[in-house]
Amino acid sequence: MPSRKPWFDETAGQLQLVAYFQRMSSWQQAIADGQITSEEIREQANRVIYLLKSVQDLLSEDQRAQLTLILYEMAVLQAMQTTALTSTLRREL
Amino acid sequence: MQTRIYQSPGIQPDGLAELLAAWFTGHGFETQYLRTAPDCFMVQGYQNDLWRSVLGVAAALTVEVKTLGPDQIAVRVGAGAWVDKILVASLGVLFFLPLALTAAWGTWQQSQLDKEVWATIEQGLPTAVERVVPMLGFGVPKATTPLPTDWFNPDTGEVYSTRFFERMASWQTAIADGVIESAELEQQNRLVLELLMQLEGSLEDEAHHRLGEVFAELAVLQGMQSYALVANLGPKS
Repeated sequence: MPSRKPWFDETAGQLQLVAYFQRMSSWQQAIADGQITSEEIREQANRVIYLLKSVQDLLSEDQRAQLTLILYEMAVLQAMQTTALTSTLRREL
Repeated sequence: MQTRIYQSPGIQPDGLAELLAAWFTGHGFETQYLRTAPDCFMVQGYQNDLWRSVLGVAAALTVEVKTLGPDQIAVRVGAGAWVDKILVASLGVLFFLPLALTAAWGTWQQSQLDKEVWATIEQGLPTAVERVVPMLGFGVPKATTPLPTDWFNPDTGEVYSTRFFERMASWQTAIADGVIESAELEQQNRLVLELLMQLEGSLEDEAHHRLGEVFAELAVLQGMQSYALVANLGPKS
């Protein structure tokens, strides 16, 4: 097991995993040709689902409930970000 | 779904229905124009293409125009009969997009389409007096059952948070006025970070490592979706 890497940058108060996604091999492979295809999105989504399933049995009931809430609130956050992004795009085009 | 009543001497439903059919066609919608009763017309518009299909952002609207009485018509605008077609398109996407991008875009885009159609109606009835009848919220579904506590639909692999996020109080509060402010984004970001910090501190090393992978790959997925959205939808809108 690798040493425990913190999820957060304590000085910036940010989620490190999100800030550095461009260093991930999955991102670099997908963006190598400057395009993101629907098949690449599908593959990445399946990767996330596989990883999530592999985590389920490692959590207690409380942790599982907490992660469920996090998934919902992260979905809300992304919906808010996308709504803000698309309305900005529309105004600028 | 919203209904408005317009009153004007000699006002007829067929002229407005024809105007709306022409508007849908002129804006690249697949269009259906139906006379459902002697004094009732239905116009349906549906728009999809490869990338809209991939991202699950097909646009559709049904407008019903009918005579209410002398010099009075009612106009109802909503998702209507083609909703099944939208659901089919969306389900195919949700299966492999475990995030809320499509739903957010769809909610926003549908609201913009509603506005454009109502503006077209107003232009087609310049002398009519208008009265708004019912007014529903900003596309927020009513919560009738508790949210699933499982993460996935075992049969389809669909991630539940994508489908049901609109029932979260945080979303409903933020979208109530149809606008997402930067302060609302910051507040939601703080909420997610606090929840993550609470969870992180309670995890054993292996679970911590695996979940770290999940969130990193989730960030990649979100980056890919956003990139595709901007590259394929934004400039063409």
